[in-house]
Amino acid sequence: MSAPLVTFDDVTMTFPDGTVALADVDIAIQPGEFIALLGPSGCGKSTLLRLASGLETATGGQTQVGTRQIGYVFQDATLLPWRTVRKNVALFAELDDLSAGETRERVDHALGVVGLTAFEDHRPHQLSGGMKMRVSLARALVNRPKLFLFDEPFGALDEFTRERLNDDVRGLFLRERFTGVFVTHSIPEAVYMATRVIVMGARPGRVIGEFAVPFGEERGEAVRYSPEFAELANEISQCLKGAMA
Amino acid sequence: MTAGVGTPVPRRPRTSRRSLTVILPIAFGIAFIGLWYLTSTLLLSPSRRFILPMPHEVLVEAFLTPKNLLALLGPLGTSSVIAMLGLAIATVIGIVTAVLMSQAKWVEITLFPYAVALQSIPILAIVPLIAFAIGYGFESRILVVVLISLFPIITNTLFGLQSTSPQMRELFTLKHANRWTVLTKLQFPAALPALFTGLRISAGMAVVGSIVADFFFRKGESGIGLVIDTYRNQLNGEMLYGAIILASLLGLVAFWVFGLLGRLFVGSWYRPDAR
Repeated sequence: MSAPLVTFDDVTMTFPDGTVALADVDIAIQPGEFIALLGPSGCGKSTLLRLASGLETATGGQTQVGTRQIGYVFQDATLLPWRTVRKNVALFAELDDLSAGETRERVDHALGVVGLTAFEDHRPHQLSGGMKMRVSLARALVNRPKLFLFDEPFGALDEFTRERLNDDVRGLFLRERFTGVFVTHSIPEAVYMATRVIVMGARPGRVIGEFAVPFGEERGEAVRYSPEFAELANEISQCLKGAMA
Repeated sequence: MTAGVGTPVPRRPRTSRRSLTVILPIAFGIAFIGLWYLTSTLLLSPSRRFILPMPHEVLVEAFLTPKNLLALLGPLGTSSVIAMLGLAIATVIGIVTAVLMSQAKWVEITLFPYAVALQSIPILAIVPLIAFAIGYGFESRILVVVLISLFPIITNTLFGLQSTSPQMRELFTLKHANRWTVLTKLQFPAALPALFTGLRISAGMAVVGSIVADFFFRKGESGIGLVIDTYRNQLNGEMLYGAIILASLLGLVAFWVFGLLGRLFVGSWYRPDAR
């Protein structure tokens, strides 16, 4: 097995008010994995993403990330409302001082991948919630991420839009071959998206279970409604309930 | 990937509301002028009618007599120049102050009480001080305008600079952007709608300030405030009302111009009802 891309080694996170967000978390993420971090609110799953991206530093233990090309998608699209779609997608290229040509190439590619080329001159207020999230995805893609962090990205959207966007993310994963970490509190979503589901418990936040997902790369309705899918979801559910009891 | 998720949000039809925003103020204006005529003719005896001359008398005397109109327009121009200069200075000072406050909490904590004090001190109370310090000239009139119009620019700009969400700032933190980048690419654009709100309020205040200053600082070219005072002393009702109407129009135009500028600069993206 190759060296892990992300390692959390005995990671502890205590906030200034004394809340223990993470206690002794050990996770190793291999290149090419798509991890779903699943757990109730307050289990520190978003904190793990913040640590991996460098937005925060753990109070104990080691966090190691083997790349600086990180994509991060927040729960909200977090677009700059005064910028057009194209300028929003170009933000990180701009902050990295990439050349105009390089920026154009990356932005064109990212807009194409999320299917928003025709909307490049629109402003965020002219877009639907789902389209805004896809702009947010495209913006992260401009980093050419080797590690892609998703912090409950589509939680605010309706079920239908959310499923389509999840398929989009799956498509991106297969195409761009990044390593994904996807925070969610939905069991079916975790199973559908991930190659491995890591279940976390709250107070303090810790890892309480791990499940390899046996389905292959092509996942559609056939997988979503298969008995194996239901069985795995049920197992994970039992694991979560055991921790909460 | 498909392009099918969602479609552009269509704009609301606004025609009916827009026609109402034209009809209602006009109807009110007509009613107001009617009331004016009634008061002037029914309540005032002819010997006291100079207190409220009838609208058409004001129109003919002050606006349709070229000599009289010029006597009003010159001072109006002077007042406009003073108001604009003062407002420009207040804008620069206000934006710089707000930016400094947004960059360091201690600057905000230190200066904000004085900004509030500036707003609360009656401008008339410090006029003698201004006269004492820098005299009765042009500069003093501009200073009054600056003092009266500064506060809304500071508070609104500061509010705008601080209106960005933590997540928006984190986008920049992810790339280790420095303060200048965050200020120019995030905070300042985000502050523009609020800045224009402040400018619109301050533009009206600036006109008030320049008229008030005219009453006290009489050196140099007369402004519309001085003209108002003169006609008041002469009991020249028609010209007095003419001057007051022009001064009010100046305030309206200032308010309107900055509203228009605001729409021009941020109208393409800013939706006050859906932030």
